[in-house]
Amino acid sequence: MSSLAILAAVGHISTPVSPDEFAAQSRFYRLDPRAKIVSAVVFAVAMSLMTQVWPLLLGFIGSLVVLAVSRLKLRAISRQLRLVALLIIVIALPVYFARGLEAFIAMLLRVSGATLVLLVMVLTTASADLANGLRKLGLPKTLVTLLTLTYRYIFVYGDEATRMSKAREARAVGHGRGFLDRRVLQTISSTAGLIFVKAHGRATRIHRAMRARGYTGEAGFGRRLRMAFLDGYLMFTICSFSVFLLMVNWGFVRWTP
Amino acid sequence: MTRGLSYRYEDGTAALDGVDLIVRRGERIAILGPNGAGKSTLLELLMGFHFPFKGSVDIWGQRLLRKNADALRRRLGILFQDPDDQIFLPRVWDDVAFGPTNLGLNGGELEQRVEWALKSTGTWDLRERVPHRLSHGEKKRVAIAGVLAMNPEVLLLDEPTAGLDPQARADLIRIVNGLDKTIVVATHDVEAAVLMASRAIVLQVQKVAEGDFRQILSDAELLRHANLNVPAITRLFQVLKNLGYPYEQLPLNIEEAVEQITKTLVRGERHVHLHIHEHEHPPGEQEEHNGERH
Repeated sequence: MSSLAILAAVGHISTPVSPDEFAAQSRFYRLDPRAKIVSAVVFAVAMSLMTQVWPLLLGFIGSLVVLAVSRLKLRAISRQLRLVALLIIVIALPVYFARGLEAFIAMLLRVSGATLVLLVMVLTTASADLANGLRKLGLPKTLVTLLTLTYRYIFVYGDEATRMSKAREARAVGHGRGFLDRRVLQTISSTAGLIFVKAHGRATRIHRAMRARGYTGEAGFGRRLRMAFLDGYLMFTICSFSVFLLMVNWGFVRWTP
Repeated sequence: MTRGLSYRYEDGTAALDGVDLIVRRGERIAILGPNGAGKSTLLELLMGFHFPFKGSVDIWGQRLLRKNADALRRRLGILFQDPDDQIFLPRVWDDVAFGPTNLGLNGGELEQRVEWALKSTGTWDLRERVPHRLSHGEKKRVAIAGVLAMNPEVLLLDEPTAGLDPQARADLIRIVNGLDKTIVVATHDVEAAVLMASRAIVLQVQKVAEGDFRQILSDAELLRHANLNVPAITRLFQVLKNLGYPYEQLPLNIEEAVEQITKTLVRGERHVHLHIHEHEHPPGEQEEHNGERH
């Protein structure tokens, strides 16, 4: 929560759009989160283990098919996709200089395919379902609670950052000065301190609210999950495809286009 | 029940000093006082959030101690002033389910409890929404649903009407009045307190007054000292009394005011005569000219 406070103070968190808001439009939204998590993780692990270009290309095409079938609106996630593309290039570029074009293409396909499927999984699942699924798959309760609280309060701090930014603009803080101006930096650092204190106060109040509702260190995630035929089918298809790709990559199955 | 309850903040400032309070089962009591009077601290002490303190707190015959605070807290529910502190999960349904899940409910029983809590507060349609897209009033109602889902015997409400628009405020008061619970409301909104509680105590670190609202609202000196505003309708009738308008008891809300006026109309054969004039009085004649009635 403290890091969120500092980011909020320098205005690096603005009111973001929650993935929950467009997840419901996806065809995958109603699927059991456990099936989505298992499928995406198995696929991402398979992609990361592959070294050959052709199976990686096949895997990348598979991830595009998943994206198409999910019916995620590309316009809605264009911002996320741009960020991911930037990240992929940053990761893959050093490989080009160190190990040549083929390794660069392999790295590009590996990271793109794995990230795309993980992104589809995250963007088609309500955050509460994701937390519930992770918990049901055995992730420690404390970790899931921390992830959930962090996600919930990003938006509260985003709103606060927006208000503070408006207040700063209204009082012309930084007006006509660069970001590295001494007064601007003084204002930002004192604001960060203030937000840090406020974040600490909020954390205390949230903890009290949790204790008031029976929390004793083990948070409950109660919604019942039901694994249906379609969930099993999705999981089976993606896991089988991942295993097939690995077999091709390791030469157990001969396949070239 | 609290007896001689005193508490100091870590910096040594007295938050509460020797407060005695008895709340009977099913009763609705308001704790009135300005900011910094110790209202929220009193509620938090009742919830067992602060130890140590001087004096004693007994909840339905059980002494509140550090070791039994978790167990006793399950009989009480608290609504905090800022709903963003209270709705900590990223979907309304899951947040309301948080308490009952911690109580050990699951499956159909959990779903029924959550549905009941959401429907009781008119938030069933919000169950799939993310909290940061709700209005302040909606968040308050969701926060109440989260508390109700625990099915507490006593409900502690900390400034429940703060920051609400008139419609959201009216909705919240209606919801609270529809609950069959023992209720303690800490507020400086006297008009709302009058609508939600039948008895009040005035707190300013110490308990400065206790009684029914008519008794407290008739004491202008007390209210001025405690920075509390008298409801507009009550203030109007106090002025009318000075002008000579007769009423049986001081109305605290618009319904009581209508009842008073109706009685006067019946007694006065459908006429209320008031003659108000503006002129200066020599000292000593004030009472004589305070109001004239024909």
